[in-house]
Amino acid sequence: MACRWIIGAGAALERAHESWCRSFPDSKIEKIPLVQNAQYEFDLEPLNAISPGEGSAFVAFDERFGNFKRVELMQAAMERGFKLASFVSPRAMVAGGVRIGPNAFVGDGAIVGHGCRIDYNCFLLPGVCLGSDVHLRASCWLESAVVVGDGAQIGAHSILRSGALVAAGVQVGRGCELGWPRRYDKDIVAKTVYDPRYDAPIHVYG
Amino acid sequence: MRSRMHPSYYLSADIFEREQQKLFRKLWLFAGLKTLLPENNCFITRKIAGIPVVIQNFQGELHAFENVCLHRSAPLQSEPVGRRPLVCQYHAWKYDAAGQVSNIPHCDALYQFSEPQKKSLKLREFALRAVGNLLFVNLSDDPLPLEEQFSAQFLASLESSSSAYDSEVMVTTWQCRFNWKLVQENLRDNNHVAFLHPRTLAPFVSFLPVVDPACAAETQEPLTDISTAGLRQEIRYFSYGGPEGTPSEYQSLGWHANVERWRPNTESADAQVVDGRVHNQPVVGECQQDAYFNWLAFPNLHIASGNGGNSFVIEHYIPVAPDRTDVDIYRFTARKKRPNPASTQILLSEMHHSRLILGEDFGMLEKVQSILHSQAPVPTQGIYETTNRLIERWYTTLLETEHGL
Repeated sequence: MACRWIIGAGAALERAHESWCRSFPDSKIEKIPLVQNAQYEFDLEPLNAISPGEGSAFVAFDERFGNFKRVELMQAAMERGFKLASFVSPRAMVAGGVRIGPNAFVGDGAIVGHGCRIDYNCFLLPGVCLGSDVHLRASCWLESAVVVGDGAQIGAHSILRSGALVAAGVQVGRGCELGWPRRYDKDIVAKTVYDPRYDAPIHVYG
Repeated sequence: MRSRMHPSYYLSADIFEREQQKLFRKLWLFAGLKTLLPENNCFITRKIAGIPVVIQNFQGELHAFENVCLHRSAPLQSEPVGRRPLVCQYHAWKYDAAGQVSNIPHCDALYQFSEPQKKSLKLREFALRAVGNLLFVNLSDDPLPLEEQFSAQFLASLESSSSAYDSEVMVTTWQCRFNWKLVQENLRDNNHVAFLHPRTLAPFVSFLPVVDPACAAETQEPLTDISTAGLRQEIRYFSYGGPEGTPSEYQSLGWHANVERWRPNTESADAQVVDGRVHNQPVVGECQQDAYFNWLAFPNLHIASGNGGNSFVIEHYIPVAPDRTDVDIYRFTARKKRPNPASTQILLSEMHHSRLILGEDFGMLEKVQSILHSQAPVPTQGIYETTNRLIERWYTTLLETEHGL
């Protein structure tokens, strides 16, 4: 039987592993935990002990460093010949005409409207709600209780925290973090960060 | 020793207004980064001492104007940073590099201004100076020379270090509930680090306060020369910078290899000594290159590099009310050697680190401000607080006499 390796670290790894096991109880699923050193570099040695041709992999790591650490792991897996699968929970409600890229995660109770496009490496935690024709570009991270309105576009590497509501048609630029629990009803320039610890948005110029 | 700072200096609206007039509208004030204005039509807007200011790039030449259209008082530029010609968005009056109105749509039909009237339509321009990548504006009609406000060593140190700044800049504003002077006093009191930052800063860097009995004795005496020249002479002592903190261990991070790290020269190291007065014990020897660098530009600018010139933070403290200060924080690395798609995340990590440490400072200062009242006890100072004592001697003289800058 082909194996499914769930590769990563931390709570994201535990969540993904549990979701795969619960959703596909008859599959052979193996958890591959990785360790980071003081410089946050992964020890990739456990990957070298696996024959990638005997199954497929799923990379599970959280949004740290703007989702770049998860991308880094994905690239390491692909360089070693792993084929990457995506996970869509049987308990999610996914409408027709939806396109989902590799290594995407659509958790329990997520609602994905008609015509949505979820690019590779996007993570939708349980309960995320996407309207119709939403486009999530690569490597986004959407927490529970995020709502994205019809036709909205979310730039690559963006992070939407619990309680963020992106209004219909709004374009969120690349690398944004919407951490204030509120309605975002205007387009947001790339790399804008709304962090609850700050009084004002954080902007990046140049 | 008793401080000269009566609580009303931190509470009174009248004193706040006097400060704005006698200090902030007379001195050179930080206004922004040249790296944010790289091309024609790039602009930044700020409110400086209550006055809206736009700094605009005209074919490579930078000019600072009052950011108010002469027609209906609309802001000429409304974003903090951007790129568009200096044209009012309300009725499209256009201004040139001299601040002169250069085009008014339908002028002859709708306004019927005479030629002399048109020529008189000129924006108020402010003195602007660039020191490396740092822009300073002076709102006075007769600005004092920048070289009188800051010593030559200090200007050289600012120019050298700021020329290393990268063009990618992260900016935000924190709204704080304390008087701006409390934070300036805190920045010149490095004895607090071990007590207020026991886990976040003190384990990694040590600061040694200066104890100078002769200078401390001088602070007991009134300022002798209170003429304009004397007040200007004294102000130079209040701005200094250089390698101030000794790191317990230099920690090299992966991204450091991708930036042109700034290295101090001799002038940079000397900038903590102004005309013989020593403000901090500078770090000397081999670890100087890896030191925690601080630059304090009086009245309201602090620049630091906590990792020996790999990255920098600018804290600009803007008085809003007696008990309110906006803090603009700029974060950037030294110039990148090559583009890095994750560079924003490096800046964000650094910004959060600033938030952590400054949050400890600001939390304490907000507590201090919250219990201040007009009858509160005047602070008692130690001999190590000489720099703050020199500043308050100068400040109280300026505010309590008719003499000015």
